[in-house]
Amino acid sequence: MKSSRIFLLVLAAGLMVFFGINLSKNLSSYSDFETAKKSGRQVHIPGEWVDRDKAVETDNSFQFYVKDSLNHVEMVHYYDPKPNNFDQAEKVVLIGGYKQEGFVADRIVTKCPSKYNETDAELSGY
Amino acid sequence: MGGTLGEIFSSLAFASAFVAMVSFFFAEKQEGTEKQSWERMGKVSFGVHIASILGIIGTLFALIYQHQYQYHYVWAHSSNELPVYYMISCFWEGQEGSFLLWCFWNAILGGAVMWRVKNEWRNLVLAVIASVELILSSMILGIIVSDSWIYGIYLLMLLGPAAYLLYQVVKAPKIGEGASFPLQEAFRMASLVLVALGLLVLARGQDGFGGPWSIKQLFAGFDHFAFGLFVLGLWGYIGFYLVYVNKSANHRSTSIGDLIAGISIFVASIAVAFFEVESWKVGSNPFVLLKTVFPENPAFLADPDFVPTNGNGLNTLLQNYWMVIHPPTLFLGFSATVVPFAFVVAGLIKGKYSEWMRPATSWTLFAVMILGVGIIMGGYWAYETLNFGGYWNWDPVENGSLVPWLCGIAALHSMLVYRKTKSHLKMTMGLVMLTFLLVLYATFLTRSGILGDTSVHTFTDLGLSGQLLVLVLAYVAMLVVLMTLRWNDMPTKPDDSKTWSAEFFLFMGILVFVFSWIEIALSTSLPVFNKIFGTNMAPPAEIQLFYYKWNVWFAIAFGVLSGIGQFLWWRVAKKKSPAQALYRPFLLTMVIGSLVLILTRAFDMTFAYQKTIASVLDPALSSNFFETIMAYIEYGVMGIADELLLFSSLFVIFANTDVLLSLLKKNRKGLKVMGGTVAHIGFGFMLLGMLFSSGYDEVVSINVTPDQMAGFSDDEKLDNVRLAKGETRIIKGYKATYIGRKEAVGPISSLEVIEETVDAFKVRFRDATGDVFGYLLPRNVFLIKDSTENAAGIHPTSNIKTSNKLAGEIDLQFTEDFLNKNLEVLKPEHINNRTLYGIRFESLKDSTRKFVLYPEAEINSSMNGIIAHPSRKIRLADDLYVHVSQIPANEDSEPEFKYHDLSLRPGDTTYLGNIQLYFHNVTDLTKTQAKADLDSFQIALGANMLAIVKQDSFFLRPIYLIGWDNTYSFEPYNVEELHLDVALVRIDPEKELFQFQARVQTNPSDDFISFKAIRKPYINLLWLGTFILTFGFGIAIYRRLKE
Repeated sequence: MKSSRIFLLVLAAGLMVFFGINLSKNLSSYSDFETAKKSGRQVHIPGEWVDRDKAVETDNSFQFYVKDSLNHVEMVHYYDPKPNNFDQAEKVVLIGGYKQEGFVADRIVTKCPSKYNETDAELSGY
Repeated sequence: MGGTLGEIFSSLAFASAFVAMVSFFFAEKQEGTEKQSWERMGKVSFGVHIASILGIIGTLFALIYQHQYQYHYVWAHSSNELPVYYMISCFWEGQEGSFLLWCFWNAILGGAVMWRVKNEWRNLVLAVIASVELILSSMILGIIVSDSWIYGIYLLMLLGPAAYLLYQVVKAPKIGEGASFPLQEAFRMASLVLVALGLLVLARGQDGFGGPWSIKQLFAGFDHFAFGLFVLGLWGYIGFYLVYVNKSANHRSTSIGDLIAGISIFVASIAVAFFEVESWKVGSNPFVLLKTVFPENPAFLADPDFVPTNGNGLNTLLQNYWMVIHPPTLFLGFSATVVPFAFVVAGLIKGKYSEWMRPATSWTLFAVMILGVGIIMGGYWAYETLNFGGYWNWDPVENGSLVPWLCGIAALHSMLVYRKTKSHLKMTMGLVMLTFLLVLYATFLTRSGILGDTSVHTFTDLGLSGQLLVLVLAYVAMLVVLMTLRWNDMPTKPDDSKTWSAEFFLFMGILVFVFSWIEIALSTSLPVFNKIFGTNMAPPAEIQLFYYKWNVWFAIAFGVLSGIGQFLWWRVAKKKSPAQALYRPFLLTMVIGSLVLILTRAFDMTFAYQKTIASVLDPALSSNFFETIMAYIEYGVMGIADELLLFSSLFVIFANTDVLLSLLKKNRKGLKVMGGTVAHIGFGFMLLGMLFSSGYDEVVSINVTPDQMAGFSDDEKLDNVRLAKGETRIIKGYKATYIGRKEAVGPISSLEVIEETVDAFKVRFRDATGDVFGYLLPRNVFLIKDSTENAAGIHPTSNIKTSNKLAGEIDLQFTEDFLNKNLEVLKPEHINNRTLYGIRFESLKDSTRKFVLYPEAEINSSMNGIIAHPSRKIRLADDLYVHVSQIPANEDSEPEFKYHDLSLRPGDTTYLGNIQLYFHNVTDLTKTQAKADLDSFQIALGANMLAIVKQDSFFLRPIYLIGWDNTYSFEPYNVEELHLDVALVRIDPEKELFQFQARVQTNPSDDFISFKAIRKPYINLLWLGTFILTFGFGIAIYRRLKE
């Protein structure tokens, strides 16, 4: 085998290893507020929107309370208008981390109930 | 009734695919008349299959077109409001429909293969395609509802082959060596149909059969055993041929084969008859009835024959012309990957390991081209209708289509390498097969529900995940088994190409693309790993940056390799050394690239990821020395990635253009072979477009009134601007004014009744600007009472023909006149609860450059939220991309007022909340005759006032009137912007005291919007590049077809 090929293979292997390490370093994890605060990293926190009446909404921000899997309730800052379908969300996944003002969500993934469920489907004309 | 027809078609499609698959496979293995017989059977079955697929599609479309909402698919995916051209989109909102689309393309491609591909390859290729088709058509079988019809289907399916066999007996041209040929054929056909039917029984499951088949209930509990027997029998049949007939193809062995096959099928059928399907669902039937899906719904409890008057509707995101053509294109690309795959499989089975490449090349080119076009169309659709601000979001669904494309590109280049060097054959075969397997894998990812939280637009799980997994694994197993069996038989030739050769650069390029797709595929598969290993990994939080960080290097590498590789491939300048030949494009790249860099810095354009990189790769976050060093290196390296990409993509363009020009100069043949070069130039432009539009985009809607967003000091986050109706605000580069909602403008056209109930009907029409509106009207007013009269009871004028209208029908002409006359008062709404918000932009530099954009918001009634669709100003150098982020929530609330009684003298100032009200003086209007009707009064006095809020001031003139009969009255003055009414109610001349009554609405139904505007520079380069790339592919395909 030519030396250039061996070099290539080594390069490929090296890249894959580097990729693996990098991926594992970049990965966030499904976490909770407590762990997120300690680690200071960006995380995904699945939770439930609670105290809905206490949520504050302005044109450019939305603050609300989320209960994580350990039943810890935390105020969440979101610097964009309230996401579509947020009112209907059963579960939310917050993607973000702790900053000066508290937990700041960069993105919110909402999990809505399916478009229709067995018995409640509204059939027009009935 | 229509649904039953559809079900018959889908059963037929399934059975015929099965017969076609087996027939084509045996046709390959046989000689002479035997071969012809199998071939005929295969062709007829495949023809029946194509016809049945068309039948299913036609039936489903007819049901949608006729609004037959008793069918679940029709109800769930369409509505009365849906125009005909969007009814096609109903096919891809649901899983069943999109499987159908895939089936359709596969069938059409199979037809094309039958027509175009030479004898040598045709049968095996078709056998593989039919096998895919078999599985795909099983995806829409589902559980049948009315079991009495199944006997009809059976009858049909038995009669069909029977008729065909009769034809064979009567008209068979010549029966060769085996005089028993038609009998044998009959046996085969019947047994194959039996197997297919057996599979159908399996699919129909528990509510499929009562009656004679209920015997299987006696054997309840035997299901696993039965299933095992069935699979064993089936594989016995196929496996026997694979192993035995493969070796000896004489007549004797085939009859033994038939005997064994017969026994296998017998066993299999028995097994199937007893097979109890409890929890395993095969396919999802698009013709299932609504009441079967919602049996407990009160509507059906009250009336079993209830049919809804309207459907659930099609997702409005799909109601876009790109959504009419993007999915079919993408699916054509997906399904076209099966043809090269089938060629490789055929090559492996036949032991012709490299000969498949020549006929398969143009098919591969076609698949990759169409897939690429489909992907970009999807991106363009996302850019036009979604509001995430771009064309690519690294969503698993998007990645799922990109990965096979990248692999397909690698496969294409690998074929080139093989042609040149006769080495890397196994890699080539592997890549071609992987392209198809990755399509299957993507299908599994997006349709099994496994992606869950990580994707926004996957299909919901229809309980097909098991079946999908079996599909993927079956083909992976096929690949592994075939490759292992043939591994030692395949020719290998060591690659002895020099480092400075085209082959080497091609090989490196292939590696780049392979790395790229592996990186994307692995990262996208995280949910799968979580499922398998029980881990809890989440995708990277900065997903854009994460993918950028990797793929920017692949893109840079592509640029360098393609530039040099193309030059070496064509050897356009044989005498010159590479350095001599490449100096021209290199120099151009350096000059233009530096110029662009200087310009971007001069215009203060910052690379978007730079900021994110700085925050994510903060070395200070690292905990130890090693990590800190690594972070610094990464930070430094990533800091120059965008500059390198700029130079690299410019180099692709210049180097390839250089090659192209010398090719064209050399001879006329250059025109024919320039496909690859042109495609590379196109890809270079695409990279440039991506770099600029995504890297240097900037938010234009920078809010200048942070006090509205009390408590937030970080200006960078305030990307949305709020505007009240009529308000103008200065944003980056523009003056933006919210001019209000877009209302319907007469005259209207294309008036149609789309829904009718006992006492109301809904119409749809286009206004003068072409927008579609809907309106609900009371029925009895617009009915034709008498065939000679119109709805108003007036005999129509001669130019309106009503002779063919019947009493009791809605008078459309009268309705149209009515709507035209009252359009302003009625304020009809856009169909689908859409509203368009007009924002006028005026350039700060050049005030003559003005334009109005109408971003849309769709009020989603079931979700209570809004879905914003952007609007764009498309210009040569950039796009201005605008979408609303907030609209007023409650418009219909009752107005509430706060009243103020004021006694003022001229010159006084008072405060009403934050409104400063200044009373200047009084003008006698009696003689000015400002208003004609003031003449009817003795005295008219106008109070001149100013209302001041912040920097804005408004002039007011409430009027006090004394009539000739000495009665008092007053005309209040209204300032709409402030929701303020002021009336002059009393004048005390002695004290010079004026009494006013002011009214302020405390819950103003504000008409306001918040919007976000982004400037996307040079995004047109991306679209231009796509065109050039596709054009290049087109030339390449043309050349292969000519060969």
